[in-house]
Amino acid sequence: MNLIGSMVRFRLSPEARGLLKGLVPDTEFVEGFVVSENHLGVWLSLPELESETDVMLLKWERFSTAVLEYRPETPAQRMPAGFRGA
Amino acid sequence: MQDAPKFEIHVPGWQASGDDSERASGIPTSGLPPLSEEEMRVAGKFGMSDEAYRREKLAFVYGHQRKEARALDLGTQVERILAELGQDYRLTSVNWNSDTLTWRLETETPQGKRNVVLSWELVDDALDFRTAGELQRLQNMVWFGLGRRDLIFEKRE
Repeated sequence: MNLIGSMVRFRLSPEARGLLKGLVPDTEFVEGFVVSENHLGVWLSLPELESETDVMLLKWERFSTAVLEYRPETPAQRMPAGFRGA
Repeated sequence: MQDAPKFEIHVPGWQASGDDSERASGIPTSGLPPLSEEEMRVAGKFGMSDEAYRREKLAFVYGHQRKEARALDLGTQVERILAELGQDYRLTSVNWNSDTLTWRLETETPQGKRNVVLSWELVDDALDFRTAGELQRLQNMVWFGLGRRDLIFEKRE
């Protein structure tokens, strides 16, 4: 699943909580907007970051789960395949 | 007839896919585009027959048309997103970069000119599937690129 463009809630590892102390509230979860992702991890925009252009890298190994809202959607109507009798 | 878009479209470079080449391969010789003298010279240089080169040229035309249609579709979606932000926001051009496989949107905003860069993957997901979720991701990335992350977080609260 591609996370770019979504708001995602990450469950931080205990080590990550320590590293992020002072940057984000000291809780088990951090929620942010995923701007990009690459081999290092996910790049997040967070409301806690003062500048709107600042983004924070959260390395893949620093979180255990990622939770996001997924809405099931009705498939678009399609024409049936096959032949129609005369 | 569809109105001409109010934004420019720039799709430079070779865009032909395997499907475009296959489509061109099924066209009778009489339907292939003619070659200029220069093109005939290039065909000879590569050891290609005129017909093979004409098919390549047609595949290029198909690929270009396909990419331009995608640019138009993307621009139309982005115009809809900008319209919700107000009249001060305007899309001026949609540009494909085949080196980075990204779309660059040039916009005018109350804060001045802003470029928004989107990956091909995000754009294809939004335009191919057109689900509310995929279109929301596109909208969020446009908002972010315009410096309106407040709208993304506001929606969440």
